[in-house]
Amino acid sequence: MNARRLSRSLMLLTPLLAGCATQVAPWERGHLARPEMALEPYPLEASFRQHVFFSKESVSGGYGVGGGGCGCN
Amino acid sequence: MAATDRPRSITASAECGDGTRPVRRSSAVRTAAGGAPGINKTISALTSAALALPGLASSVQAAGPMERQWDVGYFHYEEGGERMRVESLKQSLVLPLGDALDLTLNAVRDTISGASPIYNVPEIRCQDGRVFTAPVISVSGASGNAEPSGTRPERPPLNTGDCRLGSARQVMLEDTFQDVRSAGDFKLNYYRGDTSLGLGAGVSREQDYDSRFLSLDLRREINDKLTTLAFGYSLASDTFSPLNKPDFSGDKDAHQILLGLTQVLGRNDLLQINLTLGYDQGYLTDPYKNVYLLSTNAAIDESRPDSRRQWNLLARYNHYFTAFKAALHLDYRYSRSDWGIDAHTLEAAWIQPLGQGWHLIPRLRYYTQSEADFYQSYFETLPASGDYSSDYRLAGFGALGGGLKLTRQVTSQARLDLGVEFYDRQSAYGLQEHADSAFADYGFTVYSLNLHLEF
Repeated sequence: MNARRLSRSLMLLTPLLAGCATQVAPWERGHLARPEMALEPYPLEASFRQHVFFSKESVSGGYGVGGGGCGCN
Repeated sequence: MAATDRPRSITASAECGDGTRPVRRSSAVRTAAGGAPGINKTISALTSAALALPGLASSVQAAGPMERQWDVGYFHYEEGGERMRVESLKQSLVLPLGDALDLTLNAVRDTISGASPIYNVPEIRCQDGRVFTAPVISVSGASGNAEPSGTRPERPPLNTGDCRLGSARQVMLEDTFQDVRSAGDFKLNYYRGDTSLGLGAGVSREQDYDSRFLSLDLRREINDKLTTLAFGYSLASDTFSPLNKPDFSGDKDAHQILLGLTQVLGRNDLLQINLTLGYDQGYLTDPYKNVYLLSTNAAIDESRPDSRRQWNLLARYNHYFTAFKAALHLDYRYSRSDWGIDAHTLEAAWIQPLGQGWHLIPRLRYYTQSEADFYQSYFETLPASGDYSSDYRLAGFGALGGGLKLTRQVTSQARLDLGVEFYDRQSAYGLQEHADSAFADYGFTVYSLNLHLEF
């Protein structure tokens, strides 16, 4: 099954990524800590957009878990 | 939806500050810095910035609760023509509760009106110039019932060579559709050492649709906080009580499991990979959607399988361009479902500070999906599988989107955002092989206004 193959490759990827990443000391993480670099800088807008795409396209999710369904047309 | 993606409030560092954002430091860092001047101050300021990002907390300070903040947003969604309009009001309040807990309270109210497509009919064109369409069925809103109005028009024989099937057109649910959706949820996060645990629950109510959900997620920082592993599970339990079927209601359960990895790749590079598995079971049919049957010249209720498996692989990459002081966000999502639909989503956003507290954020999005195994724009006869739908959202298509957002830090505690986003769906934009669904092409625009307060 595709999903199983995928999760296996994801597990293999974990140490690979950790290994190839250079060590970044805490005081070198200033750029990463900037608000622009947050994975979701505008969470309210993001949740509205995901809700719209969920209503208008046939696949959805992937960004997190939680949230209720709707009878959206 | 994005429960695990909510960023912790970022504390600005003195060194990084361009005067556009509030410069604040947590009390824990102030203690650590001990008021030391010069380079130590800079380092501690940078460290404090790192502390505030999930997965980046320094080893001397455990990840902790988010800072107090309140977001309120108004969204206006508008499709072209007489189609759907939605006014949405959302708010999100984050409250730290001591050293190890924070609570997020979300609420939303959507007011929905307008017409939406219910099925498609082919036009029958004859050599003598006559054009026939299928029986005109009057469906009055979500509260109405599907009864043919008047006598069914006679359909000419198709096999004589004089008349042939032309292109399909959409039949719309009349513009009397009105609904209000109210939803609220909470999320409680608990922080301990390198681990945090989140528990959430919520409800969503419409005239004809109720949903309740629970979510649980666990995050753990490893590898000197350069790597964050996440696990999440959620269960939504929904009840559909369609207004056009008074003695019927359908239940559905939706399970989701998420496995996530966030990795710092360098001083300016951040990568996140999420694998999400979804399993829906129960009443997945849309009670307001019909299919047109050519053999009987009638529109009947659609019917979908009673389960669906779906998985998503999402990769998000952020890069900081020091020269521009700007951040590039690239997202790619591959999705697949056992209804035969696979989809690709590509998104790019550029966050550009303009000085004086202004930010400009252009955004682009491309989406393409294949059609469901049981989708046809209309049916000659009912398929033996018993599953059939002409829902335009199960067709093969592509969509191009783009938007522009302008934000302004008004005071040290308040930020105002103004945005517009366009979406253009076209059958021809679809990458995968699919039947033409150009009759369902449409677009929408979203205008948004947001206020972000830290207090």
